[in-house]
Amino acid sequence: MSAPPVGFKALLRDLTKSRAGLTGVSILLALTIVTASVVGLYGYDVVTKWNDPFAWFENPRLAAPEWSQIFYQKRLPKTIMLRESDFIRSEYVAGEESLKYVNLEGTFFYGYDDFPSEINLLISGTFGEYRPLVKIQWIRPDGNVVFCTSQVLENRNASIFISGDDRVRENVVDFMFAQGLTPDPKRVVTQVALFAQIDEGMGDPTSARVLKSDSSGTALPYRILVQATMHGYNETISAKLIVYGKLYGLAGTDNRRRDLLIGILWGAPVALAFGLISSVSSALVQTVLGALGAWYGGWTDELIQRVTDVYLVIPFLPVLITVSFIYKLTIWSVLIVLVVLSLFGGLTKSTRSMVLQIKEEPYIEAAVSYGASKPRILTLYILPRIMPYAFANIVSSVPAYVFLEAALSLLGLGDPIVPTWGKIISEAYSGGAVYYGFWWWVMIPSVLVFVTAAAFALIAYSFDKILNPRLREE
Amino acid sequence: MPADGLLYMSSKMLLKRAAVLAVTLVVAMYVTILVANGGGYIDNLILSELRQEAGYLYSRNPLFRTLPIEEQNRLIEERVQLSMKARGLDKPFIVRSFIYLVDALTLNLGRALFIRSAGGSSSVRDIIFERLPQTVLLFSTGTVLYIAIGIYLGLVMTKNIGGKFDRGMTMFAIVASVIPPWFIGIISILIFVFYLRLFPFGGMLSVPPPADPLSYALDILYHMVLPLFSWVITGFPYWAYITRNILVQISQEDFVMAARAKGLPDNNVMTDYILRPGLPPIVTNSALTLITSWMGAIITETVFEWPGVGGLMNAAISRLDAPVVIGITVIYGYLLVATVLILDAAYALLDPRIRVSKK
Repeated sequence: MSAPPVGFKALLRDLTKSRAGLTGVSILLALTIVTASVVGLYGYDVVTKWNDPFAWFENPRLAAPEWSQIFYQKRLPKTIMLRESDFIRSEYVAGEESLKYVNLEGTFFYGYDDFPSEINLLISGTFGEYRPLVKIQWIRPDGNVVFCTSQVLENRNASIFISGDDRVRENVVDFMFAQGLTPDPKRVVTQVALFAQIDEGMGDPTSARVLKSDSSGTALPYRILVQATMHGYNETISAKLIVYGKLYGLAGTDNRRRDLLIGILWGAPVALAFGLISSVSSALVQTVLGALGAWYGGWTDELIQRVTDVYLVIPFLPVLITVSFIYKLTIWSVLIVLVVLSLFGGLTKSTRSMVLQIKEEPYIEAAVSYGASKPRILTLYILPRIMPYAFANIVSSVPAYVFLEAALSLLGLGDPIVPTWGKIISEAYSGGAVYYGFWWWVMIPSVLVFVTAAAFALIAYSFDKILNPRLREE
Repeated sequence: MPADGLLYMSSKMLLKRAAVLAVTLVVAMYVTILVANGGGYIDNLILSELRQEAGYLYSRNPLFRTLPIEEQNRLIEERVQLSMKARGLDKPFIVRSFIYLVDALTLNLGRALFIRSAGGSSSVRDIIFERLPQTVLLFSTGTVLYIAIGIYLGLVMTKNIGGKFDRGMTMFAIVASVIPPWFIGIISILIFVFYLRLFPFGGMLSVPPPADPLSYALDILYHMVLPLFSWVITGFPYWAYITRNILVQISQEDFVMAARAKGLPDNNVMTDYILRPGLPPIVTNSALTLITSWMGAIITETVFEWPGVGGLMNAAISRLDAPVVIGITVIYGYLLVATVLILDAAYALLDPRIRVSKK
């Protein structure tokens, strides 16, 4: 293979001339802009929030992105939230017992074709030695009242998980029997029964039909009534209701209720930085070493060649996995190991053979004859000639490193803190996303990994003729 | 130059090459041994495990508890030292690393620390050979398949350089060759398994496996479809591309021009003037790829739960079972070095240019 007879200018010209190259560059530009805005908007706080299990409780679990509604025949619910101020409050004090009764009533309309995924009622109060008694009733648009639960508040910030609470479920089953239905108690799902039309299908999520109460229609709203009995004038109580939907945001949520959009956007700079740093550093080192060996010859060359051979025998991935497993590395330490493992490689060999040819060219001979020093010839006359080749190699090897990060994550060796595309894909995989069809969890980060890889591949395609100079003529 | 002189020269060259490769293998193996043992880090783990075991063993003995605490510690320590000696762990790591090296190079693979074969054997040889057929079945088949498809498509591309198919395939190859098979695997599981319900989720056999041999074979085939598809679809584009590049390069050589100028039919030029010199690099690449397929694919096997060598390697790494890691690597190293040497010898005998150019 002869050395490419072009410099960086020709490289850029080739890039802008080809449609593939332009497409690749525009994708990368878009990614960079998104990246810059994510880092600018959110800052590093997002990473802390991403790993905080309490930061995401208002989001539905495993919700699909909102735009995916177009794929579904029925309207899927979004999350409905009634905040403290949305509740209508009435209080009265009963005589000398210093008892205080507080009624909190929340109202909302529900016009979706599918049932909510979960229901949670958060109650916070300030109280003294005696704990308040709380009674919760669910008033349906058809006028029926479901008694949910009546319990003593254990903590100042209690969460009554209506859709998961066994007592509530038993009461819902009792309600259904009282309506003259004969449900199989094992199949009753609280959040379905609370929102279902009263018929025989109510007891089974597969056959239940939603009792809609559209705000436009004449139907009444759903109401939740929280009645608290408190033991002092100063004691307060407030409630917050979350009826979790099945759609959320632009990228959906994962099984820990996290907004995947944030993780995915944050993953872009990490992926780009990881791919670029590793490919740039390994390509530069390999190029320089290959040129060094070919130019100086003798034992330098022999040593570099032999070490390269050893590198080619050592299995790259197992060694990388072993090191990251034993030392539990972060993504940036993995990067260092990666670079050390790629100091020598295929590029060392191809650079060497190119420099062996360049060495024989007249202009090098001329330089030698007028007394240019060896290092000078190497750095000023030879390296610039092979740099376009190294650059094209960098571009074409970035995707491999982006995927490598994902592969390590898939083995559970990803960075423990920073959200990366690979980590999201691997969490989706281990969270059973491909087995239960949580497609957004897998597909959105996958598509982004692919688009990024393809962008670099397209740019590499426009460099193809430089990488394979003998194929220039058509 | 007389013919036997040539032969003498090439055999001397081959000997030198063999020596270099042998040194390469030894150094590479030693590095692997150091890495697989975590540079001696694993010793600490084994030591604390043995100490815990000894303490547990003695604590069940009521007499032991009546002894003074120093005596108890002395007894535990004594037992730990004995079991260290029994495992050959009493020598310093640096000394043992060379013992491991000699063992590995003489293919004395020894016993695994934790992993057992399905039959309960702890011999590294048994463990590896138990996994080998599955890996060969899937990955070597797949590799042969994608090399064949790739070379064929490469030939088709070469027929009309710069044509629509050539350009389209080149673009496809460059994009597709960056995608790893496990990536296609995850997405194809989602599409073909979850949504279309066409294939099983993973593994190699149904549970329970079918009794008669024919449906057994069909069952394996059924489980193989998706992993094979992922392996081939990500493999062949690259092969089409490099085959094309090698052949195009040769077709621009002067001797091909001369053959064309003589008026030889295109088919003759292709087979005798382009394919013949193009074959060695293609054969070398094929052989090396095939050898590498022996290692399986760690991630692809994980995604498809395929019980192969790649999965074994992963299990060995995550349980810090150094002998298994070393065993797999040394077999791979030997196969690789032997292949390179055999190919070198074959070319030295067959290709006149190689004999002369190394003078």
